[in-house]
Order: sequence, then structure tokens, then C-alpha cells
Amino acid sequence: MKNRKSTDLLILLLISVFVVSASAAVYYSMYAKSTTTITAAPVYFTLGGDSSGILKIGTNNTYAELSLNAYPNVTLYYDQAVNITASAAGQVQLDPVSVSPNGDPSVSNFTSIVFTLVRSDGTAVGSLTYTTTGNSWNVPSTGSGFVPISAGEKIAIKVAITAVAGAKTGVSTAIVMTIDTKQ
Amino acid sequence: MLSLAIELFPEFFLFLGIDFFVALSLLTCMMDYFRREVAYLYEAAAIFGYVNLLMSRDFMSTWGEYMRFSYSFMYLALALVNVLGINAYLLVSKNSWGNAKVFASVITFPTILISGFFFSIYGKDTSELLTAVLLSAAMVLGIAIAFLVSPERIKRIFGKEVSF
Repeated sequence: MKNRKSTDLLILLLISVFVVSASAAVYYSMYAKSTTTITAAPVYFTLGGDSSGILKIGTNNTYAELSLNAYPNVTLYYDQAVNITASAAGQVQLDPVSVSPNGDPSVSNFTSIVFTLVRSDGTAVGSLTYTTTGNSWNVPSTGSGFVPISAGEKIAIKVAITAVAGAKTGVSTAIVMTIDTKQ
Repeated sequence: MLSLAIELFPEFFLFLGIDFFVALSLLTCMMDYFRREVAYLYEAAAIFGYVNLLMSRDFMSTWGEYMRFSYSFMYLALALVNVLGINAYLLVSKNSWGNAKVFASVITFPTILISGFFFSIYGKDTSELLTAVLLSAAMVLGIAIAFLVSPERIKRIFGKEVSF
């Protein structure tokens, strides 16, 4: 009788230890949640040498809009259309998002638009090339490739726009891209 | 700096209920007043609570907080009713006033106190209060254990009869 009681107690004790520890683990796992904290952007836009009159920078310097020109049968270069400045060391790349219009006859007025990341010593470290085929843009499928950037360093975005001979005036295209960062 | 995660989920009451059922299971196994099956029944109730906790975690986003609180609190209430029931059983059916008194002091009262405390702080930011209460409770527990394990020494200190 006493042995049976001891056995019962041992069995119940083992089950109890399992149940309590497993319950504690399950409850604790509920605390695995994400927290989001707003901090300063690791990179931000600053004026480049050719930014005057073409660049509009948004609040907190985290958004930039370029209004660039193109001339028929010539390639127009903006060596420093806008600069990317790092507030903390990391890696950056240009990532394509969208092009519009696409599949429209107006697209055929362009030949190519190339965005190149250029270091202050003039070294090109990555580029995104948009070319046209008929009425369509050939949008890059991947980013320009991550390049290291140190805190305080500036990398210029150089833009080269080529339009076809006899291109119509007043035709425009909007290209949206992001600066992808890795810390 | 040490900080406690004090934001209680409704499932905390479920967890508390599981602990109470487990304690009841072990107690009823050790006490001679209860049939053998009773202890296993309480253990099954604890396992049921555990399964409930698992399901609650998996359906956390589907079930609203009100529903989660409702079934968690009901489970805890069930555990508390069982604690009170055993106390009443010892008092009425077994006519064991001594054991009922000990059970009430050692199990029923702390159980209700703990449940009441966590119910009162649910949904409030009380990290400092919780830390203070836990530290105080640990100190009281330590002193109580010292009293229990060495009554002879206490007798000598106070120089009079101490009855437990």
C-alpha cells in the first residue's frame, strides 16, 4: 500500500515537473515579440555638385526627387546629381522599384538611363542601367550591389541619360528607386 | 539595470491555474483522506490547462484578448474552487478541524492571496510594486522556513513556548 503511494507520488511528481516547466516555457515564448524603435536613418541625401535646380530633398533628408533633362541624340551627364551621406558605417546599394510609363510609345524616345554610385575619388562602385526595347523599359532585376560606406562618407549618384536622335520634346519618364542599406 | 517583464498576458491566469492543479494533485496524493484517482484527476486537469495554453499561444492573434482573459480566468477560478472545496471537504466530511486549519493557512489563503494580487495588477504598469512584493514575499518565506525548521532555537531566543 505504502509502495503504491510512493509510486503514485513519483509518477505525479514527474508529470508535474513536465507540465509546469512546459507551461512556463510556452508562456515565456509568448513574450517573443518585436519592438520597433525610430532612429536616425543610417544614410541620407545631401546636395551634390550638380544638384542646383534639379533636386528636391524631403523632410529628414530621407527622400529625394530629381528632375533631370535629356537632349535628343546626346548623352547628358549629371556627375553629382545627389549625394548619399552615411551617418553610420554600413553598406548601400541602389534598388529599382518602378518605371512609368512602361509599354508606352513615349518610352521609345529614350535609349538608356544609367545611375552610377561614385566615390569621392571618382571610383564607380555600382550602377543600375535602364535601357529601352521598343516601347518598353528593361528594368534591372537586381540592385546595384552593396558597397561599403563609412560614417560621414559621401557617395555621389551619377546619372547618364541618352535619348534617341529626333526624340520628341516634352516626353518624360518617372523612375523610382530606393537606397537599400545594410548595417 | 535589471528589469522585470511585467506586462501580464491573460494566459498568466491559465499558468497560475495549472500550478494550483499540480499542487492539488501532489497534496491529495500525499494526504490519506482522498482516493487514489483524485490526484490523477487533478493532474489531468493540469494537463488540460497546458493544452489550453498551447492552443492559446497558437491562436493568439485570432482570439481577442477578452476571450483569452475569459477562459484563462475561468480556469483559474476552477482551480480556486477546487482548493476551497478540498478545504471544505477536510472541514465538513472528515471533520478534521486541525487539518482544515493548516490547509487553509498554508494552501487556501496564499493561493487566494496570490490570485487576487495578480488579478489586481493585471493590465497595469506595476514593475516596481511587483518587484517589492516579490522581494518581501521571499523574505517572509525565508523567515517562515527558519521558524519551521528550527523551533528549538526560536524557543531559546524568545524564551517561551512556541506552538505550531
